[in-house]
Amino acid sequence: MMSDSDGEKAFLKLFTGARDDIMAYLYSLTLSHADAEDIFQDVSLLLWEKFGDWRPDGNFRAWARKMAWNKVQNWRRLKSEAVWDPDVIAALDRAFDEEEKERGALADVKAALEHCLARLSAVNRLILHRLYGENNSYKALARFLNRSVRGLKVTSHRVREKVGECVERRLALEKRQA
Amino acid sequence: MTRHVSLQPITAEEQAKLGRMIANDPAFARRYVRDVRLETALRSMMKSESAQAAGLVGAQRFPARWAMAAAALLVLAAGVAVSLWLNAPHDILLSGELRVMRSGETLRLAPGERIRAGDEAFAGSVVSCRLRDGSQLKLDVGSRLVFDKRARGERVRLALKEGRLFARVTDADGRFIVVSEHGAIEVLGTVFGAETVGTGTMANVFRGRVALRSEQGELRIESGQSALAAAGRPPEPSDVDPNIALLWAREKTVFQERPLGEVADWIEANSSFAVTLDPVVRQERVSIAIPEIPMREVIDVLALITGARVESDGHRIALRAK
Repeated sequence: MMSDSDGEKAFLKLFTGARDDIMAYLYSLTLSHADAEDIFQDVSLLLWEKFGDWRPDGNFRAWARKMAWNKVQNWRRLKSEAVWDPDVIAALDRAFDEEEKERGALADVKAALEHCLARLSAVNRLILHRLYGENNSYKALARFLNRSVRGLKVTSHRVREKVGECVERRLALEKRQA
Repeated sequence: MTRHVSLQPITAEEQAKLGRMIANDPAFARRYVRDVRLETALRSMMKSESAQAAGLVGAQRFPARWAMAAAALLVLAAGVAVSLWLNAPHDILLSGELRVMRSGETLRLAPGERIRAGDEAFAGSVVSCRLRDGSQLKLDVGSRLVFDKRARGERVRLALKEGRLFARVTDADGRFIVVSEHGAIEVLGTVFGAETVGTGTMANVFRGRVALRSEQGELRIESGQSALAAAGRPPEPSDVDPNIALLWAREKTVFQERPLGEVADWIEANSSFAVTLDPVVRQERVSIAIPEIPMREVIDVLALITGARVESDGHRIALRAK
């Protein structure tokens, strides 16, 4: 049996490794980064409270997703909004399981992403930084870059696709080398 | 799917359609989850860069105790590293996120680490460096710069590939050189900036003067002037406003998805303005990075973001719902 201190260490290790995965799951359910971040706070506390229920031989991320789903249901009730039907949730759970099995945790994806972002041009990197890191609107960023909003949307979409393809290649390469 | 995962809101009908496709098509569900995961990783990394680039206000998402402990450790580690290297004749990263390509490898430098001759650096945030001769260098996010090997008699040689830099040069004597594909800037003293623009490289002089050389000739630019080195036309001086040209290099305060009331409180605490908000406007959530520009301009930007109307009466400003 783990002491409190060991339990805390074990939880922090697992939680830190799964943080982005939980956030991705919340985002897939809420369709809103702001809502996902708000719910994440409650999910973190719930995971800590219920950590004693988790079996060490189990899949922490899958368990965390179940807890997260409970919180999302509460959130739906509060906002009186329907998000997804249960069959959609089941399909999402399967897809998350398969993706994690094939491509690893998001920590692995982030390592590949870092490699790909370093290869972007300064302007493309700036576009991603302003849109994702600083929450600039397309309108504000287009004004800043002296471009049309439509042109900026096309560019950002292409950059994102390019990054996605690079990450796929990188992950495949790492898998072959492993 | 593309719209959902690329910062654009989707309608209720589109959401319902997306749900049906996820439930009925496992391959589509996989692609959707893959995109969501990439989106989350991208946001997480970019937000982390933004937080490093500026003091993050009001968006702490973890217990304050952990934050304080982590901050104390970081400050301690950075302080020790910087004090060890500060007096050594090296180029040193002081703050910000800097990746360098060195011998074919990409390395992420920590504050206090040495930048080597030949390193090709990429700034993931606004970056501050101390150069071997004591000069201060700032790089804007997204800038790419090579810390070139110096020729005989040169103190510093930097090759600006993309982006912009600001430098406060010590003992300028013409041996501090910035090169780009459009020309060379020889710093004669002492505070200047350089940035690549679409067709050339712009040199801005804030104190002292620089010599700007391109294929089209050489021009000495004095304090308060700028000039563009570009193919096909000789450089000509024009005026530069340091308040605008250096906005990027100043510290920013960042609010992310915070109620406007919180931003207004901050403005009141940091200016002579008293800000009044309609209750409906107060709860509006905004994301804004506030550089050191006149606070009245910040209020105009907030009005633009929230769609509110500005009423001003001397130092008292009100944001009203339209």
